[in-house]
Amino acid sequence: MAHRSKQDGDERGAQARLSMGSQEEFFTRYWPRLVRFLITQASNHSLAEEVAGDTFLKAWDRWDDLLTYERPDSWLFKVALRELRRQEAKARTRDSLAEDRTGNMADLQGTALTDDWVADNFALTAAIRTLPRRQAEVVACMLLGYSTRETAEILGVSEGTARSHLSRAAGKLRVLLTDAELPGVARKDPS
Amino acid sequence: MTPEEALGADVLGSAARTIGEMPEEAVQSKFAQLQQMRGARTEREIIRQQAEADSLEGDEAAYQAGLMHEKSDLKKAARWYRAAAVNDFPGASLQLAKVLAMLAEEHYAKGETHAGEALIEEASDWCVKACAAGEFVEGEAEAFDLMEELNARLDPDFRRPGPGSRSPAAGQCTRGGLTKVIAMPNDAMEEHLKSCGSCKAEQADRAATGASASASR
Repeated sequence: MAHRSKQDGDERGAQARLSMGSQEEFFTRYWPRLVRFLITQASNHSLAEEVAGDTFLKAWDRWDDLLTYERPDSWLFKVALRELRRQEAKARTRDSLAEDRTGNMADLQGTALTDDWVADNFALTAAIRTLPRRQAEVVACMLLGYSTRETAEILGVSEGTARSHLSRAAGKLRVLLTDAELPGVARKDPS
Repeated sequence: MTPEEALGADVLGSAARTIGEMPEEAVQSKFAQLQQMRGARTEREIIRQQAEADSLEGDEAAYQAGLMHEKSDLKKAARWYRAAAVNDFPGASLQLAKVLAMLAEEHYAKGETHAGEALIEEASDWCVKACAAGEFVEGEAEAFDLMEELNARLDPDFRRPGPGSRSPAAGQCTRGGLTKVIAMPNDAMEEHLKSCGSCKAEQADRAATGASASASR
């Protein structure tokens, strides 16, 4: 998390382009990141995985274009997030404006049984899901190691807006992560 | 404030360090599954997915078109913002609410109360949606003012002229009255004064009061 300079951004871009050596290599590097990024944003794990899968299919379909992109990783996260938000917007009705990501703790518990990263970071993932969408998006980008400039590019907002969302999210996260009422971590049975 | 300072390096550090780690077997199995799915798609599914990917960029384009038209054509701006807002593009719902409130004011100024009310109702819905998404970043106070104002304007008594009102439009200013409008930047103030019947009436009232005060001195 200490890498935020422009140089580090360039390095992340170079790593992304290097991983474009083959579709499998790109997938191996970004599948875990993408699916977990979406888990922190989606109302349920299966939707997150479905959107992540669809996004890779789209990436492979335009592989030749992607090879020419400066930041193929940004494209991946941007497309996945837009698709997720579109699907959620369709599903949302006027009567259920409350963010449904917050309520679905059972889904997160279930996800933790199959994903060690979610189990290890359960309180954090749950806390991010309780944030308003725009704030949750910024925090998830930070989790991926992106700078505010890169985050703004992925989200399609100004850097100032990204910074403001981050600042508000940070205040809420500090409270949420020290709250004794946070749900416990569901551990995968080692047997 | 740097991101590290904002979030606290310790809080998210370990999560960030391990987010890319997953058992190789799980990744390989998913890769094989997706490759199989890819091969099994029909022509129609391939086209649909490609069109979907292309249209995602359209949300941002629609938002930008809304911004472009906001100063010249409110109806067009609303149409573009709506296209972006229905897909939950960041910022679009709040911008749409603001534009719809301005359009409503134009209708009220022409005496088209029903059309104005319908627009205020829609603006209020989008404002609530923007609030739920956490859109209120830049001009946060302004956004909450807008929400409060829209709610007030949905009150059936809001547009009933009070005693001593000089015009049926009195009390209808979307910006909270002439005093607040005068505090706005000049361009915005002039633009608002062109269409706000309430402010015009208030200006006339003030002019009349000022004239009678001068006369009595």
